[in-house]
Amino acid sequence: MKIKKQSTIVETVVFLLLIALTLVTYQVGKMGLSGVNISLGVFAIALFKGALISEHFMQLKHASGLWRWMILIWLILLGIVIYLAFTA
Amino acid sequence: MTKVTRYPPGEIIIWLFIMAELLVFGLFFSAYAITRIDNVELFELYQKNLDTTAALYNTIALLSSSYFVIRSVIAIKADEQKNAYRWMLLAVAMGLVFIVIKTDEFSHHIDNGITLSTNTFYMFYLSLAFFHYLHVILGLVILGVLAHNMNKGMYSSKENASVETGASYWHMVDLVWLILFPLVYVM
Repeated sequence: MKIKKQSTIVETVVFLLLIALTLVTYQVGKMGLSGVNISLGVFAIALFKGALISEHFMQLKHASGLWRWMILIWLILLGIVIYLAFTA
Repeated sequence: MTKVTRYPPGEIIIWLFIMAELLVFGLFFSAYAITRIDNVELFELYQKNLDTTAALYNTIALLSSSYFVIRSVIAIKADEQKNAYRWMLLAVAMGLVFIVIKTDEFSHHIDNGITLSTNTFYMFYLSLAFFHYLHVILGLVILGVLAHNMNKGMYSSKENASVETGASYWHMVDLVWLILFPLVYVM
């Protein structure tokens, strides 16, 4: 029961953090802020949110080796491609 | 919940499927970003025509749905079948909210005569959004089946691989949207 309660609290905090970060991204869009640094900042937030989904909601933090890293590697590779494309 | 296991939750086959799906979406996102290099003004101009507020509501809907799914998984592992069922129903409801909002967005585009051939930006936006939309529908069917089976008491703390398998797929659908939202609507 104690483990279940801990899991519930952790996942709820992660959910609230995801919502807060989403609101930041939305606000940046609404304010019409532009520029490469803004875009890369917004994407960095998206990658961090993706990592939270991978580690917590997908529960890959409990998996070992490459299984744990598969989504994180996808996010890192995507980040590299987006960085190169937006700074080209 | 804190022990490290060798394998990810659910059936291994779903993780191979998830990685194949992410590879396709990754190529799609990369193609969008690379095409944007020579069409920055066009992309920024038409990006402003998209409904960012609708996308925000959809992001909140999918995040909430993913959260309700993980609550359902936690509940079933604690043998709380009724709670697991209720959380799963809430997850389905939020997924349906996404479908309603996205369908409305698509219908507005159709009313305005926007198609895949309107310009390069809309070709990418409509293809990506519709491809993801189809994944949400498939995910909702899976969650619906899980909810139905939960109501019949088919899962427990010992028998929950199907729940974790379906949950993993749904989180992947959420993950893809978390990338699509900033990339296509905001950046």
